[in-house]
Amino acid sequence: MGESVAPLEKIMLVEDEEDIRAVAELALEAVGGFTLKTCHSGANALESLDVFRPQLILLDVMMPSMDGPSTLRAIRDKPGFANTPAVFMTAKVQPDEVKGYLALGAVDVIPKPFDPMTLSDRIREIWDNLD
Amino acid sequence: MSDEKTADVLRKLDVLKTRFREKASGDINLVTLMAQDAIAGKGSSDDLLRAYQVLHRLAGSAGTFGFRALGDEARALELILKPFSENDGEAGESVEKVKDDLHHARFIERVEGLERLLNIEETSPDTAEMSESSKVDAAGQPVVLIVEPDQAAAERLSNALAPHGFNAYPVAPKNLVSENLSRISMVLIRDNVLIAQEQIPLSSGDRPPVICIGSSDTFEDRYRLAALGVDGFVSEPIDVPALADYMERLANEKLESGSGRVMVIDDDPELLERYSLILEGGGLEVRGVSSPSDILGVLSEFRPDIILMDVQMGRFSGPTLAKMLRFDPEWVGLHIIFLSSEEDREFQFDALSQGGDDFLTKPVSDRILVQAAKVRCYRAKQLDKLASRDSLTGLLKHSLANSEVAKEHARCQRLAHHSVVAMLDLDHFKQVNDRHGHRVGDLVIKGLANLLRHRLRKTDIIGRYGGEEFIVALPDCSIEDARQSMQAVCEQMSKIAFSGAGGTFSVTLSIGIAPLDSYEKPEDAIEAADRALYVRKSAGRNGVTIVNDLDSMKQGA
Repeated sequence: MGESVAPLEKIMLVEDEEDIRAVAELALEAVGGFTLKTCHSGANALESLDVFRPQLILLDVMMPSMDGPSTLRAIRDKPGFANTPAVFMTAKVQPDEVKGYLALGAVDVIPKPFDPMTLSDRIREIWDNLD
Repeated sequence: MSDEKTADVLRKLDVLKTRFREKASGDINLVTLMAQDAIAGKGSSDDLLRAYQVLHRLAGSAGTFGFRALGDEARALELILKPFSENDGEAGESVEKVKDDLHHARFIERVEGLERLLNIEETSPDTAEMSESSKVDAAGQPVVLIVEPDQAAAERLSNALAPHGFNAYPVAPKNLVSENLSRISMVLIRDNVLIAQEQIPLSSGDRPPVICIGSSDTFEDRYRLAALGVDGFVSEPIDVPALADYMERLANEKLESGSGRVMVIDDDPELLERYSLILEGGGLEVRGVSSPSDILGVLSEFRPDIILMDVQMGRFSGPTLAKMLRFDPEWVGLHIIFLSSEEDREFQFDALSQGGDDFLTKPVSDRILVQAAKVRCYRAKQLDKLASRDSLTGLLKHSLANSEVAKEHARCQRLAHHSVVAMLDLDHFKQVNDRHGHRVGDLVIKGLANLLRHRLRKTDIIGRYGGEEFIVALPDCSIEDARQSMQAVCEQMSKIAFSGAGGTFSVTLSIGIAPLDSYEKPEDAIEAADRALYVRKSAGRNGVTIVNDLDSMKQGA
């Protein structure tokens, strides 16, 4: 805590699967009240980053062409996004894998499948625990 | 979040879920094809990689839409493919290994099994509150769990139960505890699993019926299982049609013992409100009436199983009202119970002699009120069934089926929708009786009755016309839809293996259908369906024929 953290409003979700984007929109916009920008690929995310300026980025791990980790690396290279908190979402969550993702600079990992009714709470929790 | 908003989100989630289900079904087919190619040695490593990606996607998303079982299984299958998805480039040399490994893991069967898991939904606590808890899957079939350590035996049993309309799938003993009981209609469990755990591995309370499958059948074994609390027992070798019938009966008993429709009549609005709340809390459907003059109207509309009535309501006396209700032949059999603080034996006797059936003495505890109402509802329904239902199959008797079909005919005119009537007849049934005896013949009849009950909608009318002949009416249904659904019944029926004197045998079914609303009178439609049935009989049986005189009809087809 210490310094006053701005409330979380703008979230970017990078996810190749249309169904999951649709559910996440419901979960984060309708249920959570966030402003959400969904991107269907890593490239799409990199394009939208400067305009949308998310406070937090959710990344699917397994995506065709540019996967989650490479997308995160590319995001980190962009000026102004070196420290934007990123969270991976993945179906594979074994402890060593989580460690790997955290080492890439993610602040947390949300296991898939997620529950659409509680996803927002989980994200707020992550946001509130940032130091 | 406001209730309204939650409801809106849930509704949207439902739409997404439907979309997911359709897409997933296509994905499963795709993976099946790719795996088949790989095993046949025709596939490229790209195919396996794609199959792997599709499974990974299913594993990650299915649970979000409530298909947890599907997600878990997809994840397991994904892990089987993982090694192959990684060593691309050197795929040429590992074709044999791919084949072997996939074959060994029964990969194709398991992928095909995913389709069935699409029918198993886990409702989140939120949705469970909103919608009625459903113990049936989307197709209206009950979901049955098979707890059998021998995977192959479990699969065999699951396949054998499918034609009977049971959607059964195997589950590991340790996973049973985490199952969402609200979607399970029954559990079949291997005796040694039960005995090893020394208890039924389900939370007590409102659990589904448990049937134990035993390899040995002795008095000691049976007693032990009964002490553990199982609801039924079958010994091996399993007679599947008999088991299916047993399951059907247990499921119905369970369904009926906890439900019922109660009409409460009391002139004290507060008491009325209280009784209604208590009974509704106990799972009963309740209609409260505070003014005795409304009784007749509410009766014919609500059609309760029982009436709970105060003894004295202003100037109206309960016993006199009961007597008045009995004027109408329709309510002669209606169960009327008086709720009263009267402890005067004489008065109670008098009330009963005037047409009441029973007394509950006030003050009555909530628990007793609910229990007493439930028991009486159950009894009342059983009695009603005895009168209107065929004793072997539980289907409507001939005369009642006819009058239900006539009602549907009238509804067609009123609501301007199309309905279909079907006549069904088992092929060569006399031979079944001659060859295997009447007991086996009865099982065949029951088998068809259970199949119809499972396959058709709750709103469909099903009756046993007599012997091996059945009648079905499908409200709000096109003739083509009716043909398809009846054809499915024929196919399912022919797949059921009955065990008879000289091994197993199957029985086929002929069906004639006619558009109910195209005929002026319901009996004309029934006759037309009967004609179609005979056309089918002479054209080789085992299938569906639509009546061929449609051209000459007022509305045509």
